[in-house]
Amino acid sequence: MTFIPHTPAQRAQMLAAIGVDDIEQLLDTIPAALRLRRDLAVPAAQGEVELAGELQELLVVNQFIPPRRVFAGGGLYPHHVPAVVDELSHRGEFYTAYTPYQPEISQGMLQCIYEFQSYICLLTGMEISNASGYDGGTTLADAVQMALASHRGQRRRLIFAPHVDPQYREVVATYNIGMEMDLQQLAPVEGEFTSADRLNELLDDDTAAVVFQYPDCLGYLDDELEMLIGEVHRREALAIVLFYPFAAGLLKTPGELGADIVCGEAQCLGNYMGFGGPLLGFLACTAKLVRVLPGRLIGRTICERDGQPGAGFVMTLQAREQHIRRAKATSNICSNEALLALRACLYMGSVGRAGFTQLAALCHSNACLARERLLQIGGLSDFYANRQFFNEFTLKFPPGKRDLAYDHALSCGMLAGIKPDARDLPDLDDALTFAFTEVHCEDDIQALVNCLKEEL
Amino acid sequence: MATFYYTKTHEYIREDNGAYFLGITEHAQQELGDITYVELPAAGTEFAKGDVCCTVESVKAVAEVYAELALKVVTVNERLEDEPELINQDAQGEGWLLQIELADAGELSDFMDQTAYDELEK
Repeated sequence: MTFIPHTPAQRAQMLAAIGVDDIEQLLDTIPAALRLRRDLAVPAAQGEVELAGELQELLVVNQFIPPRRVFAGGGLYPHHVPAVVDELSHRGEFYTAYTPYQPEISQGMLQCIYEFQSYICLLTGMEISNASGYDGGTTLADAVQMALASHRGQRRRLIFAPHVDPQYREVVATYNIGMEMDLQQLAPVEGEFTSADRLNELLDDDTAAVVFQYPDCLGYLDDELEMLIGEVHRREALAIVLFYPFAAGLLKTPGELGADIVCGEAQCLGNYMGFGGPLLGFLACTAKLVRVLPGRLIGRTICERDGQPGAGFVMTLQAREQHIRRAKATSNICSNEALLALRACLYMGSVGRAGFTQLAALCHSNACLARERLLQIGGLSDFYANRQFFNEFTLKFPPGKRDLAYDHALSCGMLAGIKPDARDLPDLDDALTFAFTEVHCEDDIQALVNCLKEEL
Repeated sequence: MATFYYTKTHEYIREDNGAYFLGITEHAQQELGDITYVELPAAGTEFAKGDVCCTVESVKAVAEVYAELALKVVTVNERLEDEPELINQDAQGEGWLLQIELADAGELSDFMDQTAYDELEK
């Protein structure tokens, strides 16, 4: 079998069939001024040895920062991936499976998706999860479409609570372009949590949903989230919570706080940061919203196996809108990320319930230790004093010092946090958001502290 | 004695001692096959002529149910949540979708009566 389409003989055959002498004649209708009339500037073909040599030269230019020296999060985190996750997920049966919904040949893959959904329900406190999505940003955009659909197009307003990652907000705006949404941003007030009064200034009878991020994009936890969700419900709007599932090891789940839809990024469960992908989105909701949930839902059913009662896994629901009534679909993607969902299952299965809680506690205690030591450096202060955090927090630098410190750390082989987007609060121009996980030990934290101290 | 008014899109409005009920016709039910899910609006919702007021999903298709005149929902048939098959069993009786109030009952004169609808079926 050849993988090169259109051999010269086939081209001649096709041209003859339509009665054209050559390709040039076929392209006659394109104005001459618009034609390139030369070959593309692409290097010539190289031999394998030559090419490997060139790529190696390029590779050594890369600056490699080991996970232990990555103190940055913002959605993707340097969590440890147990060896068993790589070993099992690389098995051919899983690695090559594609569109695995035929129950008679795909019991393994269907069971894995079912278990992924079960884990997501446990972590989010929701009743229903779909089979996964592309990434946190697109699942949030899907969640917004769900909220609009659940109000049957009667409500157009969407409110973002303070400190929902601006990049996620951009995905919602661009992915849902044409949905005629009325996007509103509740501005942060420095030093204050969102009060019910401030939320109610924007919350009206046209509001389909309010989006909260928990922990927020600076790492902080709003103590009053449950109360705010209550306010949202009072206006019969939905509460969407963008959630970091690792935090479920220590915190109340968004479901316990009253969320209607919970979505986010599950890279933290057994997947690598990569170069920012591939990622693993998750999307979960209350049973009431199952009809507007995009994607697929795998279920466990009772069946007979070899004359004995047994259990099997099948695709139980996929709202048919996504195929035959696309204008009414609640996703522009409707696909899943089965291999990464498998890795999340293997991860959760290998660390176990107690292990997961211990890991989350370790992330938190490392972050507490790091904050304490960083604050001992003169000039650094909490961006928000007296706020709780999970494993991520934001520190303010003396004016003009932030970028110098960040660059110095980079030259020492460390990623010293991320520079928060300052469009909502200009003060963030002098801040860094740091994240810590179980991969960091005291030495790593001290190395970061020593390095930053040199610039302050 | 109930009176039925029909639309070309196979909805009916049943007048029953001054109360009005909206549903899909026996013919529509037969065409759709086994009904699996019905999406109903909230009581109190108002619809303008031509709005989609309900969605009926069967094993074969999804059908939208139109408000062919301005109406307000008084109550919905809550039994359909657990027993959507009521529509298959008794589309024009127990399988009604909405009890409604009409903005202008005079608009019913634009609807077909039983004879005209039976004629359309042929």
